[in-house]
Amino acid sequence: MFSITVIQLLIFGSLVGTALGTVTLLCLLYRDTKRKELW
Amino acid sequence: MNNYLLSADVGFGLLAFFSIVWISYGFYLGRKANDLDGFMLAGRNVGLALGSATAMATWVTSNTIMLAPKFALQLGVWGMVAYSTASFGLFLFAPMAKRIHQLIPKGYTSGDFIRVRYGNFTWILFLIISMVYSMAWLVSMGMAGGIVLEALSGIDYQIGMSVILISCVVYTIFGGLYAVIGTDFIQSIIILIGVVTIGVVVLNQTDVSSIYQKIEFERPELLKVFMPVALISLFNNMFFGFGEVFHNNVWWSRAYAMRESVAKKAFGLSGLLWLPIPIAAGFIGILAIATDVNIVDPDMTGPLVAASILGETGAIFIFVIVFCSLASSIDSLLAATSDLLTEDVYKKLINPSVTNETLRKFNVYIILGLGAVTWVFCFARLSGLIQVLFLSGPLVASLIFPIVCGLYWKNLNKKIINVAILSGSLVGLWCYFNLGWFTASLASAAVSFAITMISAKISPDTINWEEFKRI
Amino acid sequence: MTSTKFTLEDSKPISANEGFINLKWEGEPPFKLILSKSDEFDSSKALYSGMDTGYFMTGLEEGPHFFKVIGAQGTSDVVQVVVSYPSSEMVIGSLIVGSVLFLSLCAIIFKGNFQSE
Repeated sequence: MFSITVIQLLIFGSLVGTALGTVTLLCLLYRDTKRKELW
Repeated sequence: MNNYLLSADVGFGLLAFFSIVWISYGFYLGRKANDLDGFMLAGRNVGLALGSATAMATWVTSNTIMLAPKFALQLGVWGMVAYSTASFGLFLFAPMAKRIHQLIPKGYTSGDFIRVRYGNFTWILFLIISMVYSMAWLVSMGMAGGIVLEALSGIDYQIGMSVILISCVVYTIFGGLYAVIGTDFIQSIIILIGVVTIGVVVLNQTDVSSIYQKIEFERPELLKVFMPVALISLFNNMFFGFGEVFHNNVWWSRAYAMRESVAKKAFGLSGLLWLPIPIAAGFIGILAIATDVNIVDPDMTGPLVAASILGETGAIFIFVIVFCSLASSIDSLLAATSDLLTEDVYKKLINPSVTNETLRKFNVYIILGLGAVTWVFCFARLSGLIQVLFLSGPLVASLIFPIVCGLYWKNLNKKIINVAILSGSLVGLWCYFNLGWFTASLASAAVSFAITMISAKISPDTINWEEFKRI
Repeated sequence: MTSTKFTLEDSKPISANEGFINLKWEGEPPFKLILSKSDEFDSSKALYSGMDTGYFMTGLEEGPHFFKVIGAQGTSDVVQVVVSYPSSEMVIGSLIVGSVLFLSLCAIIFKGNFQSE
């Protein structure tokens, strides 16, 4: 049986991971735009 | 079902708003797409931000949002994890993208590589497998779009499906890969924010320990560590994903489109961005048990649960996320598959002396034709077509090792490679019907691997890497 | 008035070796879906009661399971669902094959990239 800790890690981890991903993409967009490296 | 979670007015409003946004943005970006390289490959200079977002958004399909919750509800914790192993396809494609850039700097399609590497017979075999897979994927997404929109807001299946398909076809025609990659960025941001928001709001209304207790009481099997089918499907799903990513022109054309210094990083990052999404979506599926939402149609698990917990706002979120994940994959498939048909079939097989200007125009007709064929299949709504997508798992898995070894190894016997692809596909299909879907892709990859290893030993043909530079 | 009955195409008993089954039925609502480990239904569990005409049961353990639906117009025939999971040998075998293939794939790609640099 998976313990509740594993389930919590999976759920919170996936949400935190997705949130971090969003921030990363937006930061990269800012950087690439500033450096004129988008395309 | 007469009570829809959204009124048809709201549904039509959302559908119209996003269609107009994508089409006008695609039109705006399309100004850049003057020549063939611009239209097909967005100028071959895409940066890290757009590159990672487009790869991630394309890999988030209707299945990631719709199938992951069903998978979690069917197979429990391992089901959630097994689905996310598809991200490994992007991770391993990252170094391959770099190699592809070095080897074939002027390439257009994955077919280019297969033809030069293995000759015409393998190339045609490859084209058949790739077209079966791509059409099944395209049609399944068009159908999923129509079904979800109808279930959420009562918009007629035919209308919802047609609007989604037509708007994708229109902006892809206007803007080529520029439009695809540009819209993909906005779509991926919407998907990511949507998934986090739904997860956070749901967790605010329930708590993990009571969810856990309820599942432990109602369906303890789903929490088991030794869940046979889910464990077998772990590697099977992973290899299905490898097969999909390594062979399909959706990914190869992305690799060509990205700046050389960026390609490896972008695919690696897109895998990281993608990895948590099926888990976050799968968690919503498992919630069906904790919240006593009755699931009549398992394919609708995710939308039903989210909407029942979050009400109309939840339904709007799901509507928008599904629309974005569909559009971001449909546009990519339209662009990449039409490239394959234009470059590999029209130019190489029918009219080798064609100019790039004519080819650019011809590509537009192909996108239109591809859209029309997809629409006809979706209109017919043959449920068996979804099955074709799963059946294509063993077919694409048989291509993994021939492609990977072909990229890196000089010496492989071309005839034996054909045997590897054919026997991998056949054994995989046999397993699908006789042992279960959860064995098919792994079995196919294993057979194809063994025979590919043999092809490296028995009178191998030698390739001159310089041949790829002439593409 | 239609009598309560399951609308399943498969012949009985149904095998559901992945541990899940999508049950559908018809008749006059309201319905109550009952699950039991024996066809006598001596110890049983109500899975669902309401107006819907289907239920997606997952996480069934190995062995026989019996379902019946009680509707406004009587009780359905009993449906037997038999779950037998793939053997442990098959699970372990596929994990081993999967790991070997995965590691070989990684080795080919990373070694290849390293050498081509």
